[in-house]
Amino acid sequence: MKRLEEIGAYLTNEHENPDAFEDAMFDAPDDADLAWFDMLARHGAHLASHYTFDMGCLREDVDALVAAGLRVQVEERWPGTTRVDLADDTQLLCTKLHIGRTDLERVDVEITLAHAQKTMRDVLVDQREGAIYGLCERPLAQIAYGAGRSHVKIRERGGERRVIVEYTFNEHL
Amino acid sequence: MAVLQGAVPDEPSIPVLVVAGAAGDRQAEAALCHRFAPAVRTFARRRLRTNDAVEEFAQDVFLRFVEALRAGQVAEPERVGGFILGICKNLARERARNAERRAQLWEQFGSALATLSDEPTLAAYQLAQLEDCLSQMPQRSREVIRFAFIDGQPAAAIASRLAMSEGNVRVVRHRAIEALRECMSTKVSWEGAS
Repeated sequence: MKRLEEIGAYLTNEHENPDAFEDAMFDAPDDADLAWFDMLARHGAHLASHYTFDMGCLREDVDALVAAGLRVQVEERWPGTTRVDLADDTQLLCTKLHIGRTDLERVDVEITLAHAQKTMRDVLVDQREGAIYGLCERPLAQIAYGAGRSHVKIRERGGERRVIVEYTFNEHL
Repeated sequence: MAVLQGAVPDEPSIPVLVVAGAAGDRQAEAALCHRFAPAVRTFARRRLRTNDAVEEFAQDVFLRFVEALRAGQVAEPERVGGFILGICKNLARERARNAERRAQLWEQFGSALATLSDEPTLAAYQLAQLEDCLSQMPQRSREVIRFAFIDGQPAAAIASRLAMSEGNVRVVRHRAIEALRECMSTKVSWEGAS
């Protein structure tokens, strides 16, 4: 069994010999895979509590974060060229993108930068508003909006993956 | 403090239950716990905030009580209420002592634990990496990772929740964790490929 698989089995109570695993774990605690899993569990729980583990959330999720006292910067955007500036005290950035589609449950968000491209997969659509509430923790928001101009295409997931709307962020950078 | 005699109609008095419990009657033990539960919880509720903490305190009290009862340590059945109250007070003192002891230890040795907290810049970057990598995974993979390693659910429970076979959950879980680990060995995508 590979190490990641073994740690995973232990964490989910599926390990065949957890006592032996524990003995070994405490005999050799300097284990990069163990440290990585520990990081995943701690940061993952943090993301899950902020609705940032999954991609996209609903309006009530954002309201709940605000009600809990978190400083959420909400930026509402329509298709076209726009800019976002992160406030100093922002903990979470919520970019509300109007896509004008209430029939789609999830979409893909394709982002092109000068030197890289990424696709955010299966992003939840708030179907009541036909919009995406894209929540992002401050550390990633700082990197993302400091990266310069980005072109965003929101695509349907299946079939021809048609582009629904396009945005250009931070053209000025 | 006087023990209520015959306060509960048609049930044995508390001293009778104590004698029976000490003689090995398990139903008498359970009845005693049931009878004293409101008092113990009320005692605990004054000191503790959450229901979970109150229930845990009550369980600890009754575990000690049953242990003492079976060991023949409840010498005066008529004064069993005082005995249980004594356990409550001891337990509360232990908790307070633990808290006080913890504060002293923290003041004296807490600096050694500073390394348990991540270096803030590294932690912030790891958080950004994780969020970035998760965003590029299919929803199903994210869900399996979350249910397995954040919520601690076994494959059987995830399979039921996501209408998958258990074997398929294990395959998705393994592949997703490998992919996530691989993704996190590179820079955040917004910074370009490493």
